[in-house]
Formats: sequence, C-alpha cells, structure tokens
Amino acid sequence: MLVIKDLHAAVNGREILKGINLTINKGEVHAIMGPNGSGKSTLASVIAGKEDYEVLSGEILLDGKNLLDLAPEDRAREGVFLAFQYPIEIPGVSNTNLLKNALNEIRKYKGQEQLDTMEFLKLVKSKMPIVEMQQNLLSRSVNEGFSGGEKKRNEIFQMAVLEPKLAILDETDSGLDIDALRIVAGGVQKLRSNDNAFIVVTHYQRLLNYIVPDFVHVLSAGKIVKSGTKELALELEERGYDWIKQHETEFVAG
Amino acid sequence: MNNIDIKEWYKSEFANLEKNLNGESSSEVHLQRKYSLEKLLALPFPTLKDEDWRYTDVSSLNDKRFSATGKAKISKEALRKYLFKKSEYITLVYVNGLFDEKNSQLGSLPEGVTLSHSLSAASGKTLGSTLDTANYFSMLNSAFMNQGTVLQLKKNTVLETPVYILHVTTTENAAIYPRNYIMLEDNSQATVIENYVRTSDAEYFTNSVTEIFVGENSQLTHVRIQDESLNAYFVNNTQVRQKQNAVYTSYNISFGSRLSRTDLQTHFEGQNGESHLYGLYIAGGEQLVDNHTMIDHAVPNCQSNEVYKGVLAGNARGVFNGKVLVRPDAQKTAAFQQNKNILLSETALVDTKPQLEIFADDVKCSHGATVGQLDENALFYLRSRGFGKDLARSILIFAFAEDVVRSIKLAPVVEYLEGKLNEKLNFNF
Repeated sequence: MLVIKDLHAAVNGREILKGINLTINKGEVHAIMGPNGSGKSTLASVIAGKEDYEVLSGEILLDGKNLLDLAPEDRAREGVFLAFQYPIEIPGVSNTNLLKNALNEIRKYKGQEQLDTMEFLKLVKSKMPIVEMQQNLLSRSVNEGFSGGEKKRNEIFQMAVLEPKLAILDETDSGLDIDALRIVAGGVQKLRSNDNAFIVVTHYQRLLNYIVPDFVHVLSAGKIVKSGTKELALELEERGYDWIKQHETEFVAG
Repeated sequence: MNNIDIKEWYKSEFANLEKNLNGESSSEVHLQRKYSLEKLLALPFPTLKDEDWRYTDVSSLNDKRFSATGKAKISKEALRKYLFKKSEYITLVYVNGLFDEKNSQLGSLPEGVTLSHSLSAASGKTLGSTLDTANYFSMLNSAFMNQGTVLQLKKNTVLETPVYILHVTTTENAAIYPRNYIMLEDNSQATVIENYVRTSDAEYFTNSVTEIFVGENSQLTHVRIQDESLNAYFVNNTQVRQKQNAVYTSYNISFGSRLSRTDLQTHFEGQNGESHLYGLYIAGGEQLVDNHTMIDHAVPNCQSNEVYKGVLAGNARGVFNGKVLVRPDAQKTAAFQQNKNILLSETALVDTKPQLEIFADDVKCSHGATVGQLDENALFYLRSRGFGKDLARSILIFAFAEDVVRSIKLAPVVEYLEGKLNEKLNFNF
C-alpha cells in the first residue's frame, strides 16, 4: 500500500531524513522507534505533507500514487491520516461540525454523496464506543479546553470517522496516563483491519504493549538502522537506544 | 479638490437644516447645534500632523461634500435580514438617519423607561456635556444632529429587552449625524445594540456620537456593529461616564466602510467601576479601520479589561491606539489591555499603539500587542483533515474572531455575527 523509496528531506536546509526505505502492506502495523531527533516525527509530517519540510529526493507512493505531488488536503482525501502529537484548538467550531465537513470534503473528492446532518450523527454515534467518546466532547469546540488525554482520544475518534487507508500516529502516547493510553490504544486496535495500515511513531515501547506491531523499525540519524518484529521493541526497551547507536557505529565501521 | 470651501459648505447645510426646523429654532438642542457649528467653523480639519490622526489620513473625507438628506423608503422585506432571528428586541430603525416609525417596533416599555428618537427628550440634561469642543467630528455631529436614540432609565429600573438601533443609509452622497444618548440612573440595567448596515455600495458619510451615563450600581451592555457600505465613511465618538460600582461592557465590531474611525472613551467617576471593552475588526481591499480607545482611571479601585482583535487582508490598514490613563489618585487600579492582529497579506498593515500612562504606584496593569500571521501548524492540521488551503484559512480566521463574538452574551446577536463572518469568509459550517 505504502512504498517509501530513498526519501531525503530537510528543514531549514538541514537534512533530517537521509534515505528512508519502507514498504507497508495492507493490514500491517509498523512501529517507528528511535531516539529524540532521529527524524521519526519528521517522517510522519513528510508523509502527511507538511510544507515546512523540503523533500530533496525520493518517492512516497500510496497505492501507486506519488503523494509528494499532492497538497496535504489531497493526501488526506486519498486516505492518509496523521494523528497529531499536539492537536490544535479551534474555538467556535464544534468538534462534530468540523468532522462532518472534513468527511464531506473527503467524500466530495472521491465523488461520493455528501452526508447530511442526520446521516452524519448516526455515523458518529456508531463510532463513539471505539474510544469511549463522550457526547460533551463532540459538541464542544475542537479540542478547546480538552485534557491531553481527551485531545488524543479525539484524534483517534476523527480517525475512526474518516476511515483512512493509512493512519500515522505521531507520539500518540506522549503525555498520556495509563487509562487514557489504554482507551486510545484500544481504539486503534479496534480500527485495525485487513484494508488499512498504521504507522505508529513512538519513543517508548509502552504503547506497543497495547498496539502490537507487525514490524518495528529503528530510526537513527535519519535512517532506518534496524528492522524486526515486536521483539525488537522489547530489546530496545531493555538495552536502550545507545545499543542501537553502538550497533550503528559498528555497522558503519564494518 | 472640491471647489466649495468645506466651511462654506457646512454653513449652507446648516441654513438648510434651519429652514426645516418648524419653530424648533429656539430649542435647547438647536442652541447646542449653533454653538457647535461656531466651534466647528473655527477648527482645522484633522491631518496626519495631529497626534490623534497620525496613522489615519482623512483628507479624502475633506474633499467630499456630503449632504443631509431626506427620508427614503425601505420595505420590511429588505430589512428582514438585518433583524436578529428569534429575538423580540425593541427595535428602532433609521433610514438616512431619520426615524422610520413604520419599520420600528417599540412595544410596551416598562415603567421608568423613556425611549425616543427625538433629541429634545434629552435636552435640559447632560446632552453634549461629555464632548470635547476641540474634537472636529464631535462638533460636526453636534452641529447637525437631528435625530437619534434617547434611552433613559430611572432609578431601580431593569430593561430586560435589549434595544436594537438599526441604521440603514440608502442614498448616495448622504451625510447622517445620529446622536445617541443613554442615561442609566442608579441601580438600573439595559442592553443597547447599534447596527450600521450595508445595503448597497453607495458612498455616504455616517458621523455618529453616542453619550452614555451609567449610574451607581448600574450596568450597560453596548454592542456596536459597523458593517457599512465599502464606499462609506464612518466616524463615531462614544463617551462613557461611570459612577460608583457601574459596569460598562462594550463590543465594538467593525466590518465595513472604506474608512472608519471610532473613538471610545470611558471615565470612572466613582470607585469600584468596571469597563470591559472588546473589539473586533476585519478589513480587506482598500479599507482603513481605526480604533482609538481611552480608559480614564480617575478614581481608585476600578478595573478595566480590554481585548481588541483584528484581521487585515489585501491592502487594508488597521490602527489601534489604546490609552489607559491611571491618575495619581487611582490606587488599586487593575487594567489589562491586549491587541492581537493577523495580517493575511504582504501589503496589509497595522499600527498598534498601546499606551499605559500610570501616575499611581499601587496598581496592576498590563498590556500587550501582537501582529502575526495564521499559525502554520494549525493550517497544516486542518489541511491534513481534508480541508483545502483557503477553507483552512477561513476556519482559523473564524476561530480567531469568534473568540470576541462569543463573549457577547446575546444568542441572537452572536448568531447574526457568525452569519456575517461566514459570509465574509466564504464558508458555512
């Protein structure tokens, strides 16, 4: 579904991603781990189309279509969803309203009929249990006055309604207490299917106890230096990122 | 340049006014007009050299010869979109500055409330007492004031129903001089909404003055919406006097006019008063929007809170000049002021000048001004949810403005303004 080929990207003239290669198939969950500054979040943002990043070379293909040719909104409409580490607040625009319009923008792009308010509310209702979403969070302004946990929950809820092909979770676990983590991760587990795929960007192994990945990649200094299965995450947790750095040095030296 | 000298023009306009007075020529209101005309004729037209007009060039206004005009008809149908939905507000409609009885709705007023469109209702009182006789546009208004809204509440009177003053100007080249006079005696409460609406692209001049007296323990909520024709000129001077424990809350919304200038001054005359001033201005194209505010902490223990927000696009220019004066006696003053601006283009400009002048030592004051662009992260967030760039920008501007709009505690007015915002920003959620 997603193929990233030799991706190089820079911000403010500084190269952050230095040749990323990654293939993700339908139904898979890939975890991207790595120390701070390794480029994890940059990768997430570049896939979603953040314009601060300059793509120097490479390709990102979603079902054969090069995402790099598309504006962020068109990537979203093609089925990319980024769950933000820091979701923004939008006073005066209700959560439901924003989401309804977002869904209809995506449907318009796909040539599908717009959902009216009744149809949309029905859909919303059916998705609420996925992240134990509360009605009051829906009628409130987008993320305004939400706790950290509520914001993250709202991101996953949006994901549930928009039904992306590829969902990217950017450090969704940061700042979450254990209950919120359980709800958020549980939501992701429920949304996993044979038709979609997930990239889970995280610093810690903790999240991966709940969202069990098919593959784990370790990013260091802008490159994937190690790939493996879920056991790799446990090993990382035990041995720390220094182990990778050391390993990488050996790798380069060797 | 126009070939008739502006002062000569005023004299001939005044002669026309006097012809239609029908024996009112010795009334107190007219004596004030005459006095003000005399003052006006002696005043120089404001230029960029005047400190108060440093950023706002009104010379184009000096070149125009607007003229007081007669009645014009407007249908109920045409007015409907300017009336708030689901509201039973007391409504006074003025067309070309003249009271339109047919379209107005006064209903039955509670005891202790006087409401009139005739300025004579305010004579013998403090009409004109708040005005600076050196202020060109105040004197211009006073010389030509014809009708306006006079609202008076006797002691211990609560007017639950808001008073809605709707101004519609339909005639090209018209000059209108509304004068509003609001007097709340002690322990009383009222809400007044002024709305100056756009019905065409006509070029005209609205020069209004609003005088407000808030008595002891009284509360006034005052909304002004200025959404005049984009070729219109709008000047307003609002003077507020607050007695002990008086609370004045102002929402000053500017959307329209080629050139608009509002001066809002509040003076604390008794302790424990509160002034809350909220402002929102959105301008584009060649518009200029100038807000001058002054809060005079003349006595101790008063609070003021001021938040003005602006969005400027195209070649629009904004001016915010917010002065807070804390006089030597005004200990325990709390004054907070903020001005936030978003510039949407390279050519939009804002001059923001918060001025704190503090002569007391035991006070809490803060002020701040920001000028920025829309937050890129927020734009990216919305685009990553499938919204196109323009729509994402509109949503963020809406959210920025909505902050002020929502603070108005009148649901029908909020809904009206949200509709205006949606219209302006070209989106409808």
